Amino acid sequence: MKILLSSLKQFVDLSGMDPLKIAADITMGGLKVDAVEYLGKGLESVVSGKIVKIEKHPDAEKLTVCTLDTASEKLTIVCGAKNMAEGDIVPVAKIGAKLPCGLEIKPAELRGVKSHGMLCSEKELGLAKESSGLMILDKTTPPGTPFAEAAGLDDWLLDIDVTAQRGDAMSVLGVARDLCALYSKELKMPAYKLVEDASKKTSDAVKIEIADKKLCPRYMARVIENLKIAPSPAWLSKIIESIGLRTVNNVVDITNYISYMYGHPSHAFDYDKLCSPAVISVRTAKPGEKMEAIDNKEYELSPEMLLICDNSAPRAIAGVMGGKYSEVNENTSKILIEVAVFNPVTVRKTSRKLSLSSESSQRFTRGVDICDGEYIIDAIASLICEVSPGAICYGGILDNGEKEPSLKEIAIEIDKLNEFCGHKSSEAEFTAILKRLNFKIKTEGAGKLLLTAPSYRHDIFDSCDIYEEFLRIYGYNNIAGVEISLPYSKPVESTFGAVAKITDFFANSGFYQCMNYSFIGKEDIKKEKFDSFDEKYLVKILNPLGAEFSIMRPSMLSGLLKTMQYNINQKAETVKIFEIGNIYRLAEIKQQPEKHTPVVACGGIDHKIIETQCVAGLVCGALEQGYWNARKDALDFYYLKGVVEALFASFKTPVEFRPLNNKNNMHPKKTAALYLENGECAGYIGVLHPAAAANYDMDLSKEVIVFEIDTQILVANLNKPFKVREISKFPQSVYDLAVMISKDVTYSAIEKACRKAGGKNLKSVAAFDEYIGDKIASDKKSVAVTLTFQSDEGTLSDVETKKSFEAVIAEIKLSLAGELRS
Amino acid sequence: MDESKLNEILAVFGERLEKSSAISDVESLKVDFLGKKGHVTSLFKEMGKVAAADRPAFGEKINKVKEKVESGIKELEKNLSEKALNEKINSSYCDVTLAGKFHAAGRRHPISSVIAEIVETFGRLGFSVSEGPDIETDYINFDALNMFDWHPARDMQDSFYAGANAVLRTHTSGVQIRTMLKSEPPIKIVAPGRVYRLDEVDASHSPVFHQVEGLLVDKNTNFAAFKGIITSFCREFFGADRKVVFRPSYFPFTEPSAEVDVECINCLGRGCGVCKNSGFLEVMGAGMVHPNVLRNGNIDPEIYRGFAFGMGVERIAMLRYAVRDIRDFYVNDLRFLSQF
Repeated sequence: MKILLSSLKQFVDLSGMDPLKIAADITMGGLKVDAVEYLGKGLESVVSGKIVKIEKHPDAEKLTVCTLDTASEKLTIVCGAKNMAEGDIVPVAKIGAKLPCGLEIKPAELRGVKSHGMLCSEKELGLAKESSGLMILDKTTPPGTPFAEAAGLDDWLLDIDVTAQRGDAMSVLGVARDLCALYSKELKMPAYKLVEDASKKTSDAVKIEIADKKLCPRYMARVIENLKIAPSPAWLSKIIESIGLRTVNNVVDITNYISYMYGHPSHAFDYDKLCSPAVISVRTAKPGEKMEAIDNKEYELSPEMLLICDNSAPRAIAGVMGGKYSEVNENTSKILIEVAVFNPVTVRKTSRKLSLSSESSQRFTRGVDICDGEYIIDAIASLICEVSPGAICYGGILDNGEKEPSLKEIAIEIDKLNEFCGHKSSEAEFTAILKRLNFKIKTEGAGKLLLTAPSYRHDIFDSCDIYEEFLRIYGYNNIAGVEISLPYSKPVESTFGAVAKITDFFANSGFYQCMNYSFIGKEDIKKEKFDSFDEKYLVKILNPLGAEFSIMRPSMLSGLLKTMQYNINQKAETVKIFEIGNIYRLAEIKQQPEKHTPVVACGGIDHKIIETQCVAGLVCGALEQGYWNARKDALDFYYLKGVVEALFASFKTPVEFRPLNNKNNMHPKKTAALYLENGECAGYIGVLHPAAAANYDMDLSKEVIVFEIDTQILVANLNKPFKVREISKFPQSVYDLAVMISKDVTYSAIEKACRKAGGKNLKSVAAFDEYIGDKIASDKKSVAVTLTFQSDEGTLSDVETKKSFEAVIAEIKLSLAGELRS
Repeated sequence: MDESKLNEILAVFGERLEKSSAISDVESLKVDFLGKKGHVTSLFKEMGKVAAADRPAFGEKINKVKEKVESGIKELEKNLSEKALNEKINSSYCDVTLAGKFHAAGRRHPISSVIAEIVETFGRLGFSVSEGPDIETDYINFDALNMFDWHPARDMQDSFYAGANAVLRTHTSGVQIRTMLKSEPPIKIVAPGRVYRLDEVDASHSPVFHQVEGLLVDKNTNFAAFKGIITSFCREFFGADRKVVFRPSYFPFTEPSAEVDVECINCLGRGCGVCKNSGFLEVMGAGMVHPNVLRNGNIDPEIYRGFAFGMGVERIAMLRYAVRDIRDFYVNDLRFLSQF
């Protein structure tokens, strides 16, 4: 909301005060001033000057030499314009002026004639985009007047961000009231003199019918005739334009001006367009009713919307916008002025439903004063009569409805206030401030008060609202913060600790953490080649920003793949990334869900939303990069598996990798599912299916390796208790074993066979080589493992370990058909 | 057997020592003088020829010769191995100005780092982390927080819906309600999380961003304590000497409400483009918990009071790292991420 300092000064004496200080004080009182702007910026060294003489330039046909009288001095200025005459008053930019157009005025010599300034056009003064010739000022302007003052620009514009609850502050008056409370100053209400024609009665000219007083508690009207609709006078159009509105005509501008000044919107109807006899009916819309509004759009009205109608049709959407048909235009000569109070919720619902917000609806939704009606309607009528001389105002106000608000008394105890604030204030301090805010105060005994808010405040319900009123005027910053020791509180369970550990693990392992939007598009799902994502279990956004952001991600992959593609396009040689976040799916509700569970109806069945926190990662490209002797071999499945194994090890969580060959978007030969000891599947790891990778510009020679793991198990195992294993004091015997075995036998089967036959002293089994190639049969592989034997009780003899080793060889032969390789 | 023989041996040893320059010479010196047939060893064999009375004195002399030879060889060995080491060192090569071998550095995302830092700071004050779902009921996200259906404040937060009563949470404040419903006071929590707003995307608006919410509920807390704790946090987080200012504002779920402004971290309060010449930056919204909100959390406002606060993580990260476009956080350009 924009207001002029000059308007504020009509309500409160601010003479001699720094506008920036005023703005800062308004802010600290709770109405945030976003910007303060001096309207005459750049015009400080421009004054009015009288042209006393115009002579031809001795040496240039197109130039003249003017002598200017600026009261304090006479200046010779060379000028190129033609539209001025001796005796004209013009703006003179003196030496040193820095004009809004960017021009800096310096002493100059034009073809041998010295020039001491510049005569200005409107464009040069920043008042118009284009202008021809000099700006000629009013003849009555005394020479030497600062131009900003002469042009009405010696003023400040304050842009205030009024918070949603402060309907009372949506006007100059509202801001002035806050200033009066802050500065302990008296509010001056401008007086308007209205001359009525007693021979004509408003009550004869119009009738009002209100269908529901809850929707329209008060409706007032006046009638004015013999009007001349014309452009607004300069003072009015200047204000209207300064505050960012468009000037329309003298009548409409007055209604907007009063709304700006007092926060109470009003509307003027062309009286002659209303059905005769004029009966204003305030009612809700009938089914199928439509109305063209003054924005030239036709609106379909629904039954919860409140309308202002005559006998035939809606003429305005109450509190939102007037109708085109009865709009005041240049042919209007008689008007009906409406000043009403409408239900804020109705106006808000209507405005939302029609996607139609106006200066008026913004004020009504926050609530207007029910008690100011007479003052407002008389102010409007008197100003209209002033800007349209000859206008005749009918006698009397037609006033229908409530005149008094129903106000609640709120009990306040000074002791409780002080306890709440943690600060000692006296009853006198408190009552002084609340009186300045126009609260009515009744004393109920020592330190006990009953307060009633003024009628324009719609945000005072509870003692805490009054505490805030006191504090904002007393000054939040006049209450000293204290450092208190806080009581112990039981920690709440969360995933945060485990997530922090996972995050640090990957960051320290050379992975970059990514953050992608939680929503993706249908195209992304196609690109990823998701399997098992039954369309009906996807969580869809009903009002997305676009199709590409319309589905809550059912997997983390899409974001990681897009990130990969982006970075490879930016010439990254290695991409090692991870992301931790939620994935979403719907699940049919089988039992009564817990309270406060969001429910989504889908295909006639209620579903709940399952949010699963996941950590997902992706690697592709060179093992190393950015180094002069980097290893350029490609990152592969085993690399990423090693990282994931280390993650589980750091959470002391055993995990088994089982081949997984039926996941649509994954390589059938290079993917594993992760299984926990309890048989639960915790996620998967593998090479992205080359067909899916191709959708992200990856050629077939490059592998993209990904994993996705439910963090739940890691969260449960954070700080898992454990005891250290004692380290054996006895020597270990190490045996290497190379077996030729069918390619289909997994290493995990070999390891299991070793452990089964190796006995209790077999401490570890570790592969150190695998060979597949020309030197052996194509259906075979050679696997080399190291077996380590060690006892905690004594030194093992060669005979013992040899026996165990041979038992392992026999087991591999028997159960896996593996041959010892010579 | 006379002493001249001893001197002769020492003289010969001296000459040999002079000429020795390789480690192999050490071995031959050992053999030639101290070996079984060595010059010194053979002297002992001649002991028998010496009169019995003279033997101790003679023996002593031979021992001295032996000691001299031994120490000479040891010295030689030391010198030669030192020399060899020096040669090896001096002939080796390393350009210390060449880049180090690759260390696979990764990074936390800046948003995750800022969240961790906020949580840690409040953690030291005894606040634990509480979480809630991304998709909420209208009741938890709005109504329970004193924002009824008609409330104008709902317009400020245009929201995405996944179902008639499934809203993508517009703030983390709903976690206040969920936490109050499941725990007993005193409560001290922070709730970091993702939030969603139906905003057009531009340099300062992202449809997805992060907030950290905080809540304290206790019998004895008050406005002055609220100011004290928030000020401590701001000073710790933004700098010990920063001015912290509380400005009256409005949130439906707190009363009184405040915006907390901290002296600009860029210009230190002098005024600059970052703080729009105000010298201050808005860093969080906060206030005393509205009694209706306590009631909705099953907490009696006649017994307990509380304060709550919330801050936008992206905004803080943008201010701190001079990031100009909020979208940069969601592009995940490795050249951007690697700077944190």
